[in-house]
Amino acid sequence: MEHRIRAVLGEVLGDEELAASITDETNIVDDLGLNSIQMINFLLALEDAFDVELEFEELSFSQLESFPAIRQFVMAAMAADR
Amino acid sequence: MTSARTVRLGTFDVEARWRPAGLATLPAVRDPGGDAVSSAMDELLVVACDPGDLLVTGAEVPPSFLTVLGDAGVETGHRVAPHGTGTVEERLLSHPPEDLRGCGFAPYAVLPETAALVGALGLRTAQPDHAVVRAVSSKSWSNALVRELGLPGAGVVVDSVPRLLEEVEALDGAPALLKDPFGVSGRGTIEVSSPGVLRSVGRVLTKQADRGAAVEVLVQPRFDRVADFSAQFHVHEDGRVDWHGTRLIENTGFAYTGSRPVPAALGTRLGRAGYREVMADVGAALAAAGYHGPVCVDSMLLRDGTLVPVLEINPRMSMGLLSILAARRLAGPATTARLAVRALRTDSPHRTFDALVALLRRNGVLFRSGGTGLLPLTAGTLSSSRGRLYCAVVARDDDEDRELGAELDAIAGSPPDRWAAVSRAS
Repeated sequence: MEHRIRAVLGEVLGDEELAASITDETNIVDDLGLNSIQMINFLLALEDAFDVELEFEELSFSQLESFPAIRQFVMAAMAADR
Repeated sequence: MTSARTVRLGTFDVEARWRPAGLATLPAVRDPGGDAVSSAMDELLVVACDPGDLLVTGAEVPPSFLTVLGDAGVETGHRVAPHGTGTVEERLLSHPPEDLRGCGFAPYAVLPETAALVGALGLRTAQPDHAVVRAVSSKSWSNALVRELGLPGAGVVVDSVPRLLEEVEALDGAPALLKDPFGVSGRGTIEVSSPGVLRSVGRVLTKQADRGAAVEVLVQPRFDRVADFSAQFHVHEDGRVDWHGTRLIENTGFAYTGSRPVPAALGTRLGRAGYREVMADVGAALAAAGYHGPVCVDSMLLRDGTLVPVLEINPRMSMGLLSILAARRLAGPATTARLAVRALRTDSPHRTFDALVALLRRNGVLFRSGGTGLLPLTAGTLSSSRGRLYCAVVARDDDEDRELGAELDAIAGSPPDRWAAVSRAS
């Protein structure tokens, strides 16, 4: 799962090496400079990659800044869709 | 009684106020930190002020803000809007001061409450009707104008999810952009990078349409652009246009990083292509629709040489106009000025205007009237978790401009405690 999330992020950022270098301590907003358009395109691409449905109306930037938070978020969405 | 004094103020996040209720929204993520920065951007209007004008901001600014701007040759009166909730305009309206009667008025943009504010304060101004401003600010309106004028770059406005799917499919695999009619750069745009993304957007919109929301989305091919720029002008009620200039828009990814004069080669190319004549047509159409006031038209040059002169029309002041006004105030006969924006990572109370000024002074690059250097143009945008540093860069030549740009990057990238350390030592 981590590899796929990084690959999706790499496509959105247009920099696969940068995405591959992130760790659990990386803040993807502050450290990678992900802006609001990139964030929404990242989430839409995650939906596509993991075949899940996210509730966009309930999402805030601050919930999605760390890699572990995104991983948890995808896992929760996968569980909810089962 | 009339006065030469002009009151300048305004909410920057106006598209959200222009957006009609009941319109379905494209998928979006809430960003409270970004909202806090937007609310402090009204400080940028200081570069539009003449001595004797009054700048009204939503929040206090440190005393040093006006001193540093004054030393740079930008002098203005200042006051904070009355305490309360809502926009600066709404707060003034709830406690209207008596001493502004007869003053001129130049808002950033016309909001629903602007007409009532003008009446309550007794300001000497004629602003266009809010309903007109809202109508012409829509990408649906500008797209219809692009078609009417026969310009390249027209998209298709759809009013249902099935139509949206059809139009994206009609692009035959070419990348598509979906735009909210009242979105601004940085928000309200989705790139359809895969069929899955399109399915997700369709699902989000359908859910809202099922609850009774109206669907209105502009579908455009994603242009392969080599330059983004904007035209800045003022349109009069009779359709005459006062030209301010053209500004190159600098972006990193999708993030706006500044505005500067267009390179000479691009300027020549635009002249040959009749760019200003197109803008005169846009001005005439805006006036015919009932709009008058400042206008910013976003444009693009594509890799294949096609000029897309009208990508969107912003019937308001803009960063491009502020960049031009800053250059008029700060640049001398032998210098040029541009506006630069840098994201500041990490929320920190140490990122203060005073700390920034101390850092610029220590490095010998703080701009003073008649010189060159960096001049910070806002204070309240620095400390948020989505903090932004707005600076004028005034330089003698390209080499100095690059050096100052590197200095700005270093300051924006340095940790907050370094700002605090320099501030303590000064």
